[in-house]
Amino acid sequence: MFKDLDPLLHQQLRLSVISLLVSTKEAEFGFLKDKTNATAGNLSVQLNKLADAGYITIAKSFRDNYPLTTCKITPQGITAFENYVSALQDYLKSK
Amino acid sequence: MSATKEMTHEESLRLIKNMIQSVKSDFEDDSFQYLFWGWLVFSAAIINYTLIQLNNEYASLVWLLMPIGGIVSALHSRKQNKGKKAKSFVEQFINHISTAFLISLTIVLFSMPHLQESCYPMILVLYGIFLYTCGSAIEFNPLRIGGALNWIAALIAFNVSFEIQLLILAGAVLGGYIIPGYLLKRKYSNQQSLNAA
Repeated sequence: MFKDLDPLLHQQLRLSVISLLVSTKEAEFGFLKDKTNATAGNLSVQLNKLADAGYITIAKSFRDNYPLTTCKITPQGITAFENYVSALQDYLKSK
Repeated sequence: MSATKEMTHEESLRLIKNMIQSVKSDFEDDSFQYLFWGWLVFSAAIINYTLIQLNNEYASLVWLLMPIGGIVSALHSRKQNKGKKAKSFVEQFINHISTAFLISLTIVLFSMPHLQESCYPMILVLYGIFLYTCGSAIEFNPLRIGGALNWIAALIAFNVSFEIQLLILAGAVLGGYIIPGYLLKRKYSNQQSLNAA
């Protein structure tokens, strides 16, 4: 019996964001936008979904008088990512 | 990138791998600090040795260049960090190691009157720790080898005169900072070319 894939992570943009945040301590909105080639609006919506689930935290501040959004993965997000990868591996092993 | 596109399991794994790889290949060119400090310490050690040979009583004043070097180095770090959009765990680790190294180095330098001829060998031990851990963090063997070289230089330096210690120090920074610094710079250039291709 295969574990169900986390529907929140089984989506291209959200999975990209989580994969990037797993590899970094924290990342700015601009960094995530550049790496994923997503539009600002779409990325913003998906980041909020991940934040609502407790997978990431979003901090808003200012740098040189410009607004700055910084994202960071939470321990809950790391666990969700690990479970997601483990479920994927189980599925691929069985093939 | 679509928000609703369904992915196969294979596509998911590929996406994760690509994203993690893209962060890894984004590494910053931090060769400046190794080259800057390498050439500064190398030059100071050689000038100090030469002035001692010429019986110049102000020979050791050349080390006053170091605090100026510290200011230049700090300004460069500040400028480099300002443009960064993401912080990696490796960078954070290297920052902690650098802080620990600078505190230890300051303690050794302030203890110079007590340490006397053991001062430079102690500095070489600290260089060894710094270079080996930084090399391990970024998985760059020339820095690890440079660290080991500094430890060997420290062992030798404990048993020779102050003048010879200066030459050993110059050789150690050449092998530990300058050569790995140029190799790191080349690695970064190659990575940039690969990313652009």
